[in-house]
Amino acid sequence: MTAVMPVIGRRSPPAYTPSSAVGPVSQIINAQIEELRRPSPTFSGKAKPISEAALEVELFDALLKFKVSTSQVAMHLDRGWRSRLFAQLDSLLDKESWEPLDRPPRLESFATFLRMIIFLRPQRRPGLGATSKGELIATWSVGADRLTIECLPQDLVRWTVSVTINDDRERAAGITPVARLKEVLRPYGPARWFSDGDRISA
Amino acid sequence: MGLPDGLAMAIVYLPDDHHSVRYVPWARLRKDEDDNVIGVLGAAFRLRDEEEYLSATWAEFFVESTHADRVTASIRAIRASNIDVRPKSGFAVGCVSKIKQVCLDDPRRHRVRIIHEAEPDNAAHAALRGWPRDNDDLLNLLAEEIWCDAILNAAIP
Repeated sequence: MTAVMPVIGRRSPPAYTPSSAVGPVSQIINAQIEELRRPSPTFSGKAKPISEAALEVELFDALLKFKVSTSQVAMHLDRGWRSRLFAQLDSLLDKESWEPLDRPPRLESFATFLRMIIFLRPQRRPGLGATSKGELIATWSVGADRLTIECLPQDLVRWTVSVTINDDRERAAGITPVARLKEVLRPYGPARWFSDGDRISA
Repeated sequence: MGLPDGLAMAIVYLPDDHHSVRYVPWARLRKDEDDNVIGVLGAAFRLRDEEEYLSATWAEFFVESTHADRVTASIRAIRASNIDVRPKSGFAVGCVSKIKQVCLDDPRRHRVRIIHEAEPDNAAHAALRGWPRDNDDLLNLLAEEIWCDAILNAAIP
């Protein structure tokens, strides 16, 4: 039996409106919630690759933008460090190696990467990778101790660490603004990844 | 009432002690600062939006006598498939039971089923169904400790 509410005085539930003061972390979380709300595909369709020529143009364009952006902050980077970073980018975005189904890394992701590098000032360059959706991935590895940072738009990073501390294996992960990354990584002794190797000028 | 003979399809789960081989593009290989490959990234195991399962190749589908030869046969099968295998790419090899167990041990308890689902271009194709979405920490753990044997395409003739 269903209770009938009187019409008078009945209110429709208030519509959900996000706070106008949501920060970038909240926006990422909201985007992930939206992703979860999407219906799952009912078939396993294959992504369609773009043409070789179009891919080559996209990769060249991305590489050019990345190098121009880097040059704009050249005063923060040692010349040798920068040229070796360029060689890594050339290698990552080489059309012969690039997965045709992937989108090239986005400039917004690379901008976050650059700010992270300037902020952290690592003496060692990271290894570079990319997601299929266009986010750059920076990694530092010393034996089994791994730091993996996915550079998201809007100066946000998704980070994962796996380290051995006092013979105990620890793992941690999170999403944080670049400006707080140094603080977030401090308990895991980031010097193990960032020291030695090529130097960034002070 | 069951399906008439000939229409019934038995589901073949990969045995626990068998192995799956997954293609890993260059951008998803873990490298050091000089581009030396030292493993695979968790992103190598991330589903694309349009995928409902993760694809791999069943190594023991091939009858070669050693594990290394079966992995080599798997890599050749992947090369012969529709996948555009690039020169600097690689392959990750993982043990079925360990992959399933680490997914089950995760706080979100992902119950992954690894099923032989032959495809026209790869008779040894396996589908990992129930694969986690939005669990990057688990995918990184897989890449670093479980599904972590990386073989470069260039190393296999």
